[in-house]
Amino acid sequence: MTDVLEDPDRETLESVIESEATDPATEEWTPLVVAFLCNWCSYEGAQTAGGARKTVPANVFPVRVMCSGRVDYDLVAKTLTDGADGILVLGCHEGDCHYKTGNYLTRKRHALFTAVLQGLGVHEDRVRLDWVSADEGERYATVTREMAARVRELGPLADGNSGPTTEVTADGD
Amino acid sequence: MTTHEMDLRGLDCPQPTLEIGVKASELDDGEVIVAEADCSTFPDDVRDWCEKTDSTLISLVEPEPGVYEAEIQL
Amino acid sequence: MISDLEVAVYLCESRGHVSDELELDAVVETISEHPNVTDVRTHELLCGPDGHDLLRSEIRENEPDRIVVGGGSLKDKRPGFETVLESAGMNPFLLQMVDLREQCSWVTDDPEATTEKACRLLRGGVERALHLEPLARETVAYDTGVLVYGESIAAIDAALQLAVADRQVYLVTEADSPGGLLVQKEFLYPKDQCAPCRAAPKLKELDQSDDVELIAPGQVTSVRGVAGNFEITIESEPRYVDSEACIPCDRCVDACPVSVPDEFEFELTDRAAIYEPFSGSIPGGYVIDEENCVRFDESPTDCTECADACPMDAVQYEETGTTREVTVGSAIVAPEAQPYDADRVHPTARDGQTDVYSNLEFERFFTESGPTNGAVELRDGTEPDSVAIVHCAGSRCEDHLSYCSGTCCLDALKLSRALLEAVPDCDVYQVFDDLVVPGREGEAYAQETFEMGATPVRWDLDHGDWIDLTVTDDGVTVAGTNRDGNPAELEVDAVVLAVGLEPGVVVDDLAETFDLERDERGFLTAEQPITSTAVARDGIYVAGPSAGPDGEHATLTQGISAVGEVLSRAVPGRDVELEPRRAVIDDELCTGCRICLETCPFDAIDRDDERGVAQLRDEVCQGCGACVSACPADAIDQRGFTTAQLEAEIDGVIEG
Repeated sequence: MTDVLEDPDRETLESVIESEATDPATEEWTPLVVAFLCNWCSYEGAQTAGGARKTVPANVFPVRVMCSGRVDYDLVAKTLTDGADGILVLGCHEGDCHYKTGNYLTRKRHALFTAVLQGLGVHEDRVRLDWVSADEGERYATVTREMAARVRELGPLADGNSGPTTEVTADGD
Repeated sequence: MTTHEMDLRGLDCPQPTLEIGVKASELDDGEVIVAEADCSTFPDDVRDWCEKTDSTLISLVEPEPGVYEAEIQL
Repeated sequence: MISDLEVAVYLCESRGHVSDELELDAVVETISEHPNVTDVRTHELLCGPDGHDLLRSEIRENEPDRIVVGGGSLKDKRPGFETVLESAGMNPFLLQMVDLREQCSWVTDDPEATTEKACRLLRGGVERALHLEPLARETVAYDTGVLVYGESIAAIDAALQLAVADRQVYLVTEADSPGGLLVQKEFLYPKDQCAPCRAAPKLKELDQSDDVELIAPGQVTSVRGVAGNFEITIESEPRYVDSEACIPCDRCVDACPVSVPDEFEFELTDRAAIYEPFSGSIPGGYVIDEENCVRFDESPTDCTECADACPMDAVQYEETGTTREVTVGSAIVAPEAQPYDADRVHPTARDGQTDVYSNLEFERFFTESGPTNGAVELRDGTEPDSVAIVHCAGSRCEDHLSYCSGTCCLDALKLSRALLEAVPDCDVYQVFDDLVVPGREGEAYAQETFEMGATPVRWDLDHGDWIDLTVTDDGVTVAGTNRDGNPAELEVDAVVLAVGLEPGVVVDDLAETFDLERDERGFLTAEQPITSTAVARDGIYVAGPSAGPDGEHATLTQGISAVGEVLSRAVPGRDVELEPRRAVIDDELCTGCRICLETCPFDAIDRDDERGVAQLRDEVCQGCGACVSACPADAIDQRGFTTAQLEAEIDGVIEG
């Protein structure tokens, strides 16, 4: 998974990321991102971010599970259809999974799900899998901000089914 | 309820919690101490201290890498 | 009925950390509007004693069906709140906690946004709470049985000590008998006492113990389960001889047509394909070596020489290996180390022709029952006039073993003493750079050895092959660099290379089977070696020379220390708590496809072949939920993290 978004207009994107962090509700539509956090790593990373008073977008909502392996992609699909515009699945770094192979399973499932998304005409960036360890508060903040910015850029996932397959530019067009 | 701040950075364990203990003995129940320390065992030590003295650890955060801040209600 | 459930919501202000960053009144008002919420309370510091008191008394008075607590540092505070619920007569799993601080007020700058986020998160919490179910804290007994793997003195003493504590022990080793390097030695530092005499009573005790079941030769092929409940599969290999009936009379040995180099004797002599591992080996009796016996060849013959020769009818060709599963609570892994191959140090070492030996090999000369019946003999049968014993052979250098094994210097000194006694006229040279003789007796032992007549030859260890050996018609020339930096030579009849120790050959397999970590040199390693013998996988301990090269005393001590840890953990009557948030399989929906079995990282799912469905091993399940998402039939759910609960939480957040 990439840290750096591939985007033709990096400067604009960076300013969106900044504005996402400080002023998320400036436009009529606020993207809603659900973030699945695993109890041992990414949830703790979010805690660390909190303790260090990092800025995390207000529209990223954490849902704790014990392991990213618990994240059922049926649930992910349902979350999208119920109204979320983006999903973050954050697990432990390779080799660190508290349950040994949970994150590895998630990686495989995620790859399959990405193919499904493409078939539905939903941009794969709407469902991002990444790894955050317990002491990576800064990283948690960055990943959530990147995700929120990206989802804003992609626009709202239309009611019920697939979202726009063309990218929405950062300035809101 | 007043908040008492303590800068215990630079002290090696177990000094930070000892200092907190000394300060606590001068204060009443319900008062709050906010202590900053940078020794690596401080998080464990301060948790133990709170448990032993029946104090409430309101928060324990790491504002900068290696520096810890504990907010304790006695 | 979910619609009837009453949810009481408690919001912790966290002394301003939460309440200062949002509009608390607005949050209270919003969440009060939820149809199931009957009560919303705020408190300055809910996790403090006052807050707990309030919660407790209100639960007793109002008897809500569910509790939602919003605040900070939830994972830390949760046990405290669970205790409050329990003391108020409520199941602690009917509590839902919502983080309003670290993941809300502390990370959001705008108060309006913070307020809205708090409202959504709380709504998610309330919706989830509606689907929470009471869960039980169940326990299962911590099995007091122990599996000990290994033939080293650490394994032997561990087994013996555990038997003293009346524990059921399964002692498994791939060797024909426990004993390890100890039984290949003749003398032991520091008193040069008889090594077999030290081993014999221990082996006898093991053999006679009712508490110790010995499986030798055998292998552990799988270790399933968790601390307190391991299911271990042991495969035993057939010995082909009835150990009770056998009276080691050697008639079968004499009759056997096969002759192969005897590894026990470091190939200084040969043995038959049927043999006694060593005098005093356990279980008693001989063993047939499948690898060399003609009955097991590629084109097997029906040779019955040994059976025909046996006066006790003890040979049983039809014996087969067995596979069994045992349940134990702990395992100690303590395999023997192996001596570094001297022929990697110098190609003529141990070639059977030149008088270049390894230290352990050379020690066999001193054994009455050994290859030379206790006489020190060169290859040509004569006594040596001069012997050079070279320290650090293949140790402390990049090309061979990078480390010091800590035992070879003492071993080298010990051999000098034995040699000086056996062949008083022999010139004995100790060739070394550093002399590693730690401990109380070390220095005195070394001094005494030199006083007895050993000649110290102090050369300069150059990292690499520090000595050169040239075999001549007269003997062996040892060449090196002396302390002045000049080339030096020594001509002797025989050279003994004191080599170090490496992890045993079986360590690779053991590490995989038991899930053990190794260090960069291949040694088994405890998770925190200075303070414990326990490895990362709970309930398993490592000890002995494959966990770090060392002499007998240290090895033995490690074995005992592992026993100490086992005994303090596996106390009869002490139970293990099952993970309350574990998986639950619905038999009716399960199609028996086995995907969950393959998915589970802990092997916690079995298949009930009779009913064709998956079956959870409750004592093993760790509550990760991987099987839940894997099941194509949606037949598995996770207590405390059910699909319904997660969906409800998500919907609550989305709908706000």
